[in-house]
Amino acid sequence: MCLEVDFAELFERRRTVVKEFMTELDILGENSAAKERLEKLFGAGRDKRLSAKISALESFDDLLNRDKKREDDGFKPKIKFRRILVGPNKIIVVPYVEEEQFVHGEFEPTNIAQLSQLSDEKEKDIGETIGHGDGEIGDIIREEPLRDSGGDGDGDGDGQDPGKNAGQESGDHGFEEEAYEAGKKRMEQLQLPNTKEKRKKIPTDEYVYDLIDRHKGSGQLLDKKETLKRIVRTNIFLGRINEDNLDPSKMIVGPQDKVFRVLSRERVWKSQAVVFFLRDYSGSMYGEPTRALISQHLDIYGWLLVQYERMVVPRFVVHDTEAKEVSARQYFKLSSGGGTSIISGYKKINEIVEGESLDKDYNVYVFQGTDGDDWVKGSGQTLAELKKILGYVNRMGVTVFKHPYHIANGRKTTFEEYIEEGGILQERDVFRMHVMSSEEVTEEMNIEAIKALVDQD
Amino acid sequence: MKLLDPAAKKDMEECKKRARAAGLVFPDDTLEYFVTNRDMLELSPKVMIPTLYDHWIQDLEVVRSKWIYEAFPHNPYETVINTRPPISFYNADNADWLNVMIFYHVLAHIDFFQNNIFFRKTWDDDFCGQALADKRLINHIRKELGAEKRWVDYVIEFSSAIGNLVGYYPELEEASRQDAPEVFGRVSEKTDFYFGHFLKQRYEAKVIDLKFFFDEVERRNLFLRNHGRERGEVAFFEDDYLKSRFPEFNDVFRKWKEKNHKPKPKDLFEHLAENSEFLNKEKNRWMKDVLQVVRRTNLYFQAQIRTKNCNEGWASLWHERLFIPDERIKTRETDYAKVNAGVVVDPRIGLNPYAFGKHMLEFIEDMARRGKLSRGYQLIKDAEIRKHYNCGSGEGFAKKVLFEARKYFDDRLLLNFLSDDDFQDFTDKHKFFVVGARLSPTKWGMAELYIKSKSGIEYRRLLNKHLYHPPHIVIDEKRSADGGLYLVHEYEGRTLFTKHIPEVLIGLEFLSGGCVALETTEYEEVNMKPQWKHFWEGTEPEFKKERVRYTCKDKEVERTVL
Repeated sequence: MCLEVDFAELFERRRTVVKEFMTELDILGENSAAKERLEKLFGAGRDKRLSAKISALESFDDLLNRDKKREDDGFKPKIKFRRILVGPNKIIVVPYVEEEQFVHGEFEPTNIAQLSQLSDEKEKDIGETIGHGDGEIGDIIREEPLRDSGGDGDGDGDGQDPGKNAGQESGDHGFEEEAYEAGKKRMEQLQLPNTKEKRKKIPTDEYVYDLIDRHKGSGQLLDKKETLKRIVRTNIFLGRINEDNLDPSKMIVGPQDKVFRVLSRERVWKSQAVVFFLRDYSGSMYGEPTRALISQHLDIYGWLLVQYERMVVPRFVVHDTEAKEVSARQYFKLSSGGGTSIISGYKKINEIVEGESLDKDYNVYVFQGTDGDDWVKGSGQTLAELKKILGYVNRMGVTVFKHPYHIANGRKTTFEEYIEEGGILQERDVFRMHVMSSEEVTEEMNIEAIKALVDQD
Repeated sequence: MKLLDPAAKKDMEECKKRARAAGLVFPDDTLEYFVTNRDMLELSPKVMIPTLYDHWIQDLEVVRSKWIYEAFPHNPYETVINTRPPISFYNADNADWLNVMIFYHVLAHIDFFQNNIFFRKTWDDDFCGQALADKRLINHIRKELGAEKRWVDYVIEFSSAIGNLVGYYPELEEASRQDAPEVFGRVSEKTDFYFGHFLKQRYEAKVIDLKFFFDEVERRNLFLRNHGRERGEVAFFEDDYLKSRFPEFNDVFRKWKEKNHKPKPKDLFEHLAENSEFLNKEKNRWMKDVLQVVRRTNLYFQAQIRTKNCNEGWASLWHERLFIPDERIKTRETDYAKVNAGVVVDPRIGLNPYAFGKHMLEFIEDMARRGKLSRGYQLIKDAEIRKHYNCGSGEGFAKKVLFEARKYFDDRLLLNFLSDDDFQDFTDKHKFFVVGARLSPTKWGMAELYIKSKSGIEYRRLLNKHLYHPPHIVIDEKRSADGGLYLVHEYEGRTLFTKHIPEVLIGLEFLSGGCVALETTEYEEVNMKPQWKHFWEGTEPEFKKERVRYTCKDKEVERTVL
């Protein structure tokens, strides 16, 4: 109901209970996640205000036209969309609107300058609500995780308590749009370049039919040139052609002289690609950077689908201090809250590629999102794993969501430091890194990042 | 959607007889429909009013509800519409015995709608019929506008943005003044004019003296005493003394009435309709109709929003009291217990309005039964004596108090009716407490929810904070005089959600046709730093309160610190 997150208290906790691998950014992310979690639990916070955050009936185009008209009429677009990848080649587009009214906000600070000297007692709780049942004052009635986990997290938006916010932005619903088509549209929109293929083409299950086979005597389309040649040859054999006085009307046309074109079934050969999306889902990536990252990865997936004419296998890996391969849906939803160890992600990708010999038959791509925060004792092992990846990839693109704290201090992130030290940036044919702010991310910033990652010299 | 079958209707009629015998009051004619889950999903965005006007956002809601249903199947048992005749919808999947219980629940809702004074403005309305007329009006406007019909949606959208500021209490106040003028010290318009304007003007022009004024007051009171309120007033004005002294009075009153008598707008909707040059242009007059439809609709739902706990508590109390002794519960006792427990369960954390409302009403009734609603009892501080106090006021008085509570309480009054001591007894009886959340000292990433306090005062403070209360925003008439609109948010300890302010102002600028300003209170951080900086430096942000003004001109919104 009412909520005051005591950041000083959280800060203190950071000093006393430091989990292994937790960086300062991880702990800051943890605090943000805790605040949102408690707001949800106690029914306060933004969800309550955005009760009209809903999804749409009208067709995608109708909705876009409605917004276009709004702009023509001088009003801001109202319908917002969130795109979610729910499986290979399947994107869900969830439209929603927010109905604005003058309503009370939830922000009521207790630490007011003019009054601060009057209040010595410091609120130690991070939230307050009401309850019912047996127990004495001080009894602990429940323990709650400070962040949502499992099927709930940054990527997909909100918690989904049945009957409350249930399904509002659920990934199972919305406009299903083929990722290939979506990718095509975005490619045109963003003017993304074409890729350079490394690997051989492989036969596919697709066939094309063309009138290229020839058949004598019967068929679908008369091949006039070939027929004429055969008639001439037959008549030369029969001695009915006088070179000095050529008279076609005297030529004989045999039944086998007519050559026709018939349909031929041709197998299509294509290049194929496997793309690894690697996401840091530790505490430090909580919130805006993760939302920006999955938006970028969605566009990159669409781009690759177009490049490889749908022959793209996406693989999803998340990591905190440990990495695991997950489904598309989990990739866009999971959050962990643990520490950060980038090497675990690289090891996982190498393990999969080597284990399945993917580098032999596939064009391999790796796209990674990190805030550059890494709990490392030495960069050597991480670089070794990274170089292994660069040995087989067509392109590896890393977006570094740099915290404003690092930007303000002109400080390089751990990741940037060892990438530069290892001379990785020089390998421009296979490696690109784009550094951007982790806060106040705009659509333009995301587009700039995508272009930088897929750019072809 | 189909009407109840004869067997179910017969059950309903039997329920009506028993409910009436218990004291509930509702009309003879009611309409009941069986609806499927799909029907419910389609009706819910229109707040179960099938005839409500169309707006594209409702269409979006329909699909959202379907998605929710697919993800989390749920079966609402019933819905009641407060209209004439009352209409109720029943889930077609309900078992027969369950429907009997629900009939009682619904009848209690209808009783509440039609007897609680916060619904008084809806007592005479057939809202479904009104909504249908409004829907047809809006469709007609759309048809007339043709390709430009999207502007109807804009007007609905912009006026809905101020829907929560509709003048619900001014409307109630006006109704109360009309119903009970003596309580509000109200005099007739003519008397008001005579003493308040006519004589005042002549006193200032030194035509009469103060003694004459008081003599006239006394003379009027004499007429009222001798002839009664209505006839006395007529006799006073028809008396030869007044006619000979001021023969021009009736003409002056008539002209004043024609010229000056305009009721004060009760809310922003009425202010805009009256003062906006843009809306009053001939070509834009249809917008005023749309504005009125949105206002009417929002007014209609205000009472429901403000009586959620009372209304649900009342319905839950009566379905329990009427269904348990009903023989139709036989062999279904366990099923009923299970369903009822789901409806009126007190959650370990949070609030269930059904349960809370029921507990409050029962507690107040019990206090009345034991004679605790008395000054004598309130002076007793000894907990043991309070606990066993019973001066035997009896069931009759208890019932009277219960029904009076149904008549006069909204959620805020229900919650704050009891004294602090009585409310403490209430929280103790039902084992309510305040829950605190703190970081776990032993487990990383976990919060501990613990019993922080069993204080009734604290518990009530939290509940009060949670009750529906839209911001109090008034129109500054003086600063709105130049064709613009100047709104003042009266700070009640809670700031506005600033993200919404620009869009609402842009909509209001459209409707008012001029510059729009909103004055409000906000907090600004002293030496503002991002949150992460505080984190790193181990500091806490410090705020100062300030008055700010948002001004919207040509769709551009500017914020100024005053």
